[in-house]
Amino acid sequence: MDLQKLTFFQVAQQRMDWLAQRQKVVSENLANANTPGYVAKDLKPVDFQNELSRSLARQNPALPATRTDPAHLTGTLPQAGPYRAEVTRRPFEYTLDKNGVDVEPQMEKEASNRSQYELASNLVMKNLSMIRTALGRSGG
Amino acid sequence: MDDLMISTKISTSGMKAQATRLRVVSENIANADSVGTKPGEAPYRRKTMSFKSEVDRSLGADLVKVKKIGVDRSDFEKRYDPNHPAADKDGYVQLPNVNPLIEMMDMKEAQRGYEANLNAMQISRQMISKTVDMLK
Repeated sequence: MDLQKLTFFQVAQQRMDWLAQRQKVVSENLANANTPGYVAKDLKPVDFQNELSRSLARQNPALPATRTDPAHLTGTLPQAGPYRAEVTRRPFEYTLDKNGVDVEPQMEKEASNRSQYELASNLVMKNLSMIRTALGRSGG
Repeated sequence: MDDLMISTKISTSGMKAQATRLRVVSENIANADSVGTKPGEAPYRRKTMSFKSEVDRSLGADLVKVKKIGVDRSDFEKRYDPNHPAADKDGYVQLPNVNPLIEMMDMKEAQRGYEANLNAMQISRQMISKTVDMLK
């Protein structure tokens, strides 16, 4: 049985992917909290328009450059993950060295990432146990 | 899950950078009274450091690195102490340009930065273990 055919599991997987990638972006912000000129980034929330254009792009992926010699570079940027990170427009404040990372909102994002990740993974486990029940075995 | 592994690496780079900063601060504080031993000899010069953000291509993430450890070019203070071995012909001794208050502030900021990174790493690790728990 392919669980990915059940919409619920697809949605949960997407949610967890998004949260994991957001955790990465938040970690970057915190690591660079004292780097001159660095401004905090955050992931765009998932919306229908985005998802539509993404699924269209999946059907027509961009052509990678052909490498005729092993010394050639791949010619594309490293895969940044499926979701787009964007620079925070108006941070609370800039320091004198033009750093625009506010630590407090990052902490809040971390905490909400963790709890939402937990929610998604608990829902997946609950659904699996429901499937198990439907199969006639004792769930658990 | 791969993103979570990468986040722990990013946090590690942040912690390393803040630790280097703390090392520079310690050097400055330890040498806050290091004056010369010969007449007119320059005392300890305060060290400074700055961070830079660097894209790691294999991780596809902005890591933080120590840009460079430089020196503070501000003037030395002078104290009148003709009996000191480092006193010049007018009797003045040059003192290091270390301001303990600035170093304390830097130290606190480094500590806060380190804690923030450590916290981010703990949360990433909790998310990883939550994923692994789904196997149960």
